[in-house]
Amino acid sequence: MAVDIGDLATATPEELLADPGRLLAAGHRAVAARALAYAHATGARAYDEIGFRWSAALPVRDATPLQTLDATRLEHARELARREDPRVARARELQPRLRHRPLDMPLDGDFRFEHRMNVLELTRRWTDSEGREQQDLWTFPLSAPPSPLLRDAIAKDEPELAGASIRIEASGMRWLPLRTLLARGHFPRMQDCREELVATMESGAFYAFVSHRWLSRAEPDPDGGQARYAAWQLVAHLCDALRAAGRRGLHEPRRYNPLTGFAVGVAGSELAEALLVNVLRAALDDDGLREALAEIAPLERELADFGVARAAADTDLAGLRELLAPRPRLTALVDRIHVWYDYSCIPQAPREAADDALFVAGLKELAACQILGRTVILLDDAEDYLSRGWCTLEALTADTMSGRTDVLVGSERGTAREGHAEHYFGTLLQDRPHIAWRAILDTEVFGVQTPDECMRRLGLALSDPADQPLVYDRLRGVPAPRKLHTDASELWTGVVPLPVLGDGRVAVPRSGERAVRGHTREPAGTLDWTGALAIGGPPGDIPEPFLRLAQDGCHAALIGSCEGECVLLARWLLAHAGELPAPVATVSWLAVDIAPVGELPCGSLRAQPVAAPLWLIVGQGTALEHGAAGPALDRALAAAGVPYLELALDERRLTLVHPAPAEKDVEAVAVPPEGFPVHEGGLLRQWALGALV
Amino acid sequence: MSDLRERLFAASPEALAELSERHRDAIVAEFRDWLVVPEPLRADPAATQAYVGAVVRIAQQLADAGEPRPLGWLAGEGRDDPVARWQAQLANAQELTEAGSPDVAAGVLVALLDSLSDAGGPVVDDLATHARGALSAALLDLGDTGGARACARAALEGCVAAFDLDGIRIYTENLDLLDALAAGPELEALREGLAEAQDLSDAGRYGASNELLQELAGHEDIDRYAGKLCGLVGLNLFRLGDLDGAREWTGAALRSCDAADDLYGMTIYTENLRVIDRAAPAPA
Repeated sequence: MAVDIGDLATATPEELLADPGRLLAAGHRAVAARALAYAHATGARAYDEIGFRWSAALPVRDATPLQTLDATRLEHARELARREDPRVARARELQPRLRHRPLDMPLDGDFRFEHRMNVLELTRRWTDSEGREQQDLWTFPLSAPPSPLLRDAIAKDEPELAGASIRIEASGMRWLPLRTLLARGHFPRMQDCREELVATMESGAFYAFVSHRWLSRAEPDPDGGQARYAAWQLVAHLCDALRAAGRRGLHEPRRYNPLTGFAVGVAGSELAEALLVNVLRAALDDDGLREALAEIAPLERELADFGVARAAADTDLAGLRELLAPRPRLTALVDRIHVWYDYSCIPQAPREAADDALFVAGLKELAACQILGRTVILLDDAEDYLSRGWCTLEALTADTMSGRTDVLVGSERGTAREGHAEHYFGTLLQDRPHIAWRAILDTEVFGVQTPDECMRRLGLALSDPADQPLVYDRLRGVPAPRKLHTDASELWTGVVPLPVLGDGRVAVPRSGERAVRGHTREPAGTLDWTGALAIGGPPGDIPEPFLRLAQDGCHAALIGSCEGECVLLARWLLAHAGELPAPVATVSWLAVDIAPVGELPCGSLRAQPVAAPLWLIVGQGTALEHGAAGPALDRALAAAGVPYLELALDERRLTLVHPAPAEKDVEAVAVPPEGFPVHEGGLLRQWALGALV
Repeated sequence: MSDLRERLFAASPEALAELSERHRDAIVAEFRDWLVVPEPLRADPAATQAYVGAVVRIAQQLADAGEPRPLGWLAGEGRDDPVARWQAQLANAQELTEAGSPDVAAGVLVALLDSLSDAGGPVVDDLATHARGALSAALLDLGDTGGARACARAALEGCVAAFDLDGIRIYTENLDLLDALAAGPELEALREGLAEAQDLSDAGRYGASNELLQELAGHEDIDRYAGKLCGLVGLNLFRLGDLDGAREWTGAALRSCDAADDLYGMTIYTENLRVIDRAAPAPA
């Protein structure tokens, strides 16, 4: 269907971002179709550019829209263009910290919260005695959140490193002790430090895989800056770990609020918490902790920026050696830290023939190093980092396979303390796995491009083009992203199945918010469908978003993060339906896409009445729990009194849910004789449930 | 009030369905005019709410009967009502300032304020207040601190007149920022120190935060931030378990804010004293 974007065609994304009001000119039902048309209007091929144009053409400005490199570039250019007087900029940065701070939230009013860097901002709305609507702001650090968030928190420590319990035989994996780095003052070439490298990973020690850019072709760190920043920050995070252990108790777990998704109460940085779990608990008893705390007590203000300021000026790490010299407890803990840094841990060219096998083995085991250890990204230039094939692969591997990435400041910069670069990188990294996943699906599932073109469209460059097949192959092996990025700007396409009520009407959910009701949930067996999202699963055609397989049986509602993922899911279901506890009569799939930059073989959204005595809802666990589609289907089924089996793919278990009756935010609607409308281009989540039928 | 609208507003649900069906075209033709709350009702929040509720009910009724356009107009489609247009202008100006074009933004805002001067009512007053606040930010980016101050002050007065507590906080903070820019390096150093103390406290380094605050207490401009300083010392002491000290310093913070007419500070520290008393009731 041709979509009229004549009023937008000549506008640049920057102009649209500056005037979102014009994007509603054709009505909210047309927003997604027009944004998709605009995204592709220039024939853009790069995934990032498509994503940027898509985002720019959306009038919805929710909390966390799609983050692209182009958007980051624009934001950076805007910052430069503002030419803000540095005094004004600094005064603006300070102002929120000069605000009065509460101890706890008041007991009255309605609250909504936003999470900004390390603080929570609660906005309270209430009606004053004169009947006026009022609001005010209550700001809390995550270290001391309001009491309700602490009350609902559960124990959740950082995990132990897998390397402590899993061994790889005859491995090419080598680790550089941090003490060697400190002694040398720079990252040595592997051939110059091979005797000091360790090949086995021990319990009670820490292994950090350092992902970084090469700053010159011959040497990754010609001026020793990466060595300085890595060493100082690792030591400073270790001190932070000691401080957290001192305040919370060495064996007292960190608290985590599952509703909000972040750690609350006394906690160190995530890296510090990992050091606490893996090093401090093994190395210290209460007396040892007291001694270590006494050693670091004078450093508290000095290391409040995690050593970044000291690192900038510490040539050859002499200052750090001096700091450690009178602190034997701290030094003993530092001795338990190791790093993997390519230049120091795999043989470098030119190398002797005897080293070739070790080089090949080391390269083969990069992902294993990351999975067995913990990845820290030494970040200086976020854009450049993510335009490099190997760096992107390492970041995606860490983020997707372990779900954990620690970002360290990688160079001197004015804003290091404010963490701007790290913040940009964090938001960019949130969506890189989604964009890369769509690129892989376009290549492998839809076959629209070669691996070379896929890499080009992802904007990934390699200093040695011969590495391209290897990097692509590794990217292809990175699993589907498990992290959910949900936002009102996500695109819904496919089919929303609606249960038929006793009177022939259908139950239409009008909200995707998770409702807390008295559902009955019973275990219904295990089912390992973790392979459903693997590339190279069952082949087949592109399944329609609604399929009828038989007259009787259950309805399978598949929820995927994009149409490509839905195709994988549907093919898997068609090939494995026999493993389910009930026969399948109908199948529907719904794509809930935060980054609609890939192929959209369906590209529309419609509702479909479904009369089935039992449903099966399949998707990734995070999407079912925290997305809007799963709770919406739950609401409709609750209204219809239909039980359902829930299969969270990553949890490998079936749960039978008897939903408690729902009346709120669900509507009974008669099915029109001509059927429900088809929304070409799909609908944004903002309007999907309201405008569906 | 249009006769048709009056009848629809007064109708029962059944009558509304029947009237909507019978007068569908006329309602659709008039509906966009109904999106602006009539001037006499705007000063009365309850009447405004009832008016908006009735308009939504009619739009919903039409949507159920297969005519979705009025509901769409309510959701922002079309945008040919003046309030929506003014709101879009304000949003556009804020985006322009963010995008590094404060000169263009200032032009949009001056034109917007000009348009608003011909209209009245609480919605318009609120828009004008926010437009003045946005103009203050744009002028500050243009280096016109005098103009920025005048606009921030006008915005603050607008919020005081409407008893908009959050607006009062926002524009008081903006004026504080402008004062800091006009002052010398001494005040800047004090603000840097207080921000660092806040960072230390946020990181759970309460002792270090209080050490720094003790150093700052001797600063010659400290009276300006006495509420903040005392309040943060009290908060740090509370976290360190010294409830008596926390009560004493928080009480001092409250008195400072009271003396400075700092309503926001008074709200926060009154609540903080309640929290401290819940943890350990004050001696009788």
